[in-house]
Amino acid sequence: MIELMIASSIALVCLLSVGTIISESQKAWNYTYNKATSSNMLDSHVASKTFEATIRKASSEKYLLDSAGRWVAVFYFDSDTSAETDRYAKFYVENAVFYLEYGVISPSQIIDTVPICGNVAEYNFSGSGRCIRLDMTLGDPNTGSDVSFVTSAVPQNQ
Amino acid sequence: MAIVTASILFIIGVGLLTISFSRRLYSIRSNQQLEARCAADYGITKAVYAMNLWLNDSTSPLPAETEVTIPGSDSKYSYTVSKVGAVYKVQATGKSASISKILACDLRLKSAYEYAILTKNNLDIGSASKVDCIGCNNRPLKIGTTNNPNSNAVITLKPNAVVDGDILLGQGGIPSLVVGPGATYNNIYAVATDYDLPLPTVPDYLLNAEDKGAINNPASPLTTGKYSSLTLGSNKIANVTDPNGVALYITGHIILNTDSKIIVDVNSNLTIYLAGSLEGKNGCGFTNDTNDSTKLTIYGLGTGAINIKNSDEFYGTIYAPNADVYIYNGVKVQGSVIANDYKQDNNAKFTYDAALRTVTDTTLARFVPTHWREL
Repeated sequence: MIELMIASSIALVCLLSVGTIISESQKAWNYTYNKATSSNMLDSHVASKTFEATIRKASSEKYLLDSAGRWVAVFYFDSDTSAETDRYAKFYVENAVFYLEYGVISPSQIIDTVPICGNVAEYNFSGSGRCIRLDMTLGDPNTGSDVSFVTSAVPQNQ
Repeated sequence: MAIVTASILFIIGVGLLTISFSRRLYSIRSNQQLEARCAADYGITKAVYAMNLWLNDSTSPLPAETEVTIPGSDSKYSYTVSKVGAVYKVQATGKSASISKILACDLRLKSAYEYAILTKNNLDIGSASKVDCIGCNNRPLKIGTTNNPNSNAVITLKPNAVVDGDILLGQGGIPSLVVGPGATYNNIYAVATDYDLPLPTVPDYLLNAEDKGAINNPASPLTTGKYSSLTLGSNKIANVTDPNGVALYITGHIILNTDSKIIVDVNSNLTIYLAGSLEGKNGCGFTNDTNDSTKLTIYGLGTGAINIKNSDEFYGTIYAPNADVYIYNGVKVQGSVIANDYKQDNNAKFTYDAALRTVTDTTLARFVPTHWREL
């Protein structure tokens, strides 16, 4: 009887240990997988790339930045034949959606407004030296797991 | 049970390793793309730099470099410059391991007078004073400072001052710190560019010329040369009539007494390299009969102040990045001013001539990238 109890106790400890390891491993795997492939993570890459690509082709001679950091507008050449910067691109957030609005400078006309990503919890546009910078946090209402990223780019045109 | 446990742990482990491996590959690839892009950016920067050196000897071949390793890095850059029509085109390639990035841009020759008024520090537009433009069309004039109000620069627009264009600040400038209650202007913004305001240099033929001494109330028209000073007494006139133009290198000061004038003939032009200051009394000044601001140029070589009290409209450009320029009450100016500090008194009027954006003298002009694109 005593031998049986000892054997059962040892088996129980082993089972609990293995169970805990498996459970924690599964949690870690889920966490890592979600971090790597969550829609917010993918959205953050898209937002970064869109912001960088747009800023890099903009003119460094002029950009408009909201004093509260709520929006930024840059100006760029539409084509090789444009004599002056003739297009604008404006980044802003509305109802937790990150938008890119672009259009003609003169006469002022919006060509399109493109939603880049949703779930924007926090954001700020700023200028730092030659860079224009975006700090953004995408919140996940289901898991509560936020994705924060910072991206900046240097306008290349003059 | 042990086999089952081991199998589950094995599957979880393989899963974690797979994710780690794919993230690692993604990270390496991202890093290489970043390096390649930086290398291509470096190539563009080198091309622009090389082209600005090439300006000094434009008969030499256009610059190019191939597969040059960036110091302290494994990545390499190449660039070529070609001329298509009147446009110089740059193509730069950056390489990091197997990743390549190709960038292209055109080069635009940026005039030293691209801005109506540009200062290194303070800019002060007086009450009821105006800054406007002829020929600007869709490209508004710009006045501003290369510094920013967060440091020591101050832009002051007094009540009823009118700037028919944009006001720009140096990098990181905060528009709300610009003082301008009651003034009218378009936009205020900070730029994301580096300003290059090189000091003007005196051409060798003037620098090495024999000093002809002081000019005092000249009886005959002014002639090109190196002088210690230029002084006109009250109501005196100095004429500039040489059809080839006149260049004066004044190692001292220019003093224009009351109602004295330097008159630039309609068929001539005047360039002054001024080491000292320009002091004008009431009613004095420059009369540029060409009415063309490219025909009268004042280069301030040092920190000597340049005071404009013109009775006639002043047609000309002032390039004096280390000197303070003062446009007095009621004076009318047409041209462009680059200065350390700039003050435009009440009721003065400054008109920027957009024709100055076209480069006629490459001495202070610079190539800058335009139509930049990723290929």
